[in-house]
Amino acid sequence: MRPDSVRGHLDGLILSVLEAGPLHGYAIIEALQARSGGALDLPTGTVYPALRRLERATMLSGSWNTVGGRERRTYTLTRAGRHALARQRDEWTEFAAVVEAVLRPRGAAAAGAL
Amino acid sequence: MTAPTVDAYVAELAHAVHGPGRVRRSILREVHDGLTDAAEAHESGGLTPAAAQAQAVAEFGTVDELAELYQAELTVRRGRATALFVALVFPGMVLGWALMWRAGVSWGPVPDDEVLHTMRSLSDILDSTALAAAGLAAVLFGLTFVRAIPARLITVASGAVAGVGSLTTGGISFWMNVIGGKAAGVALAMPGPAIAAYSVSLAVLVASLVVSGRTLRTATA
Repeated sequence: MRPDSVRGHLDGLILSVLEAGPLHGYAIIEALQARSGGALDLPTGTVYPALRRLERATMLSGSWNTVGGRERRTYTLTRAGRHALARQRDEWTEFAAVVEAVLRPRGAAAAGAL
Repeated sequence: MTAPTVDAYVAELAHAVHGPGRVRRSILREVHDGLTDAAEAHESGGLTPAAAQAQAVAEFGTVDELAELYQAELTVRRGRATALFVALVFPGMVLGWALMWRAGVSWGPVPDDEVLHTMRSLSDILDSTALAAAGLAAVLFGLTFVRAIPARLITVASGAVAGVGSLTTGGISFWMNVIGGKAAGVALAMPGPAIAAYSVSLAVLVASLVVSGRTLRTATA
């Protein structure tokens, strides 16, 4: 998937990965790649500024913790982050349904109507 | 040509971004950790340490790309911190002076009525200027939470308010001292509390000027 396509949705993807529990930056990148089956192709470093931006927007809280014997900055989804994630999911579902309806070949749509 | 290393990448990024020291250090440390994690993963996959670092750096994105993203973040945070600083410190200074006046702290010999009247007028202008700067800074602080407004614009404005506010209040204070015959040499004869008040005010104004310079530097980085 092209990096430009991913960037517009990066915030929602990060929030979604953190829904299960706190993670540090590299673990978030690994989770994004694992959950996309390796299809997300964007510079891995761009995830870190996005984490800081989401933290400033109070959707995440970040703190330095010892993980695996090393100090790492760990991020946790906040209540505001959970609300934002729910909102983004609703918007995406609506958007995907509209695009799917328009993109579907007209023959298939007509066959579906019969 | 040598393969890029994690340390070299972080050093280049450190050179490229400007902003509040604590946040900047935390960001650079996190980037170093992230690259080290990635390099270790590649090394576990069979690459040599040098090749693993080069691969981690290549996947991370260019320094220019990361610097632009991080600079945007640091600029917002600098603007917010400066606006909050001015919004809290300037009223604090005005309040401190008012409390000292009310407590009856002596400022030395009482000047004649005409000088006293001028001093009071200047004091009112000084208070109004400091409070206006603080009010403006409070508005700018609030605007840092509005995503539609360019962060750089708010940060430049915050730096300008800190700079203009400190120079104006400092200038009026100096003028008051000259008129009242309390220029630096004579001030040494003032009571201890008054000297302490002048020293604290001077420190606040110098700190505001330093903050202003750093803020404008971050905004134009």
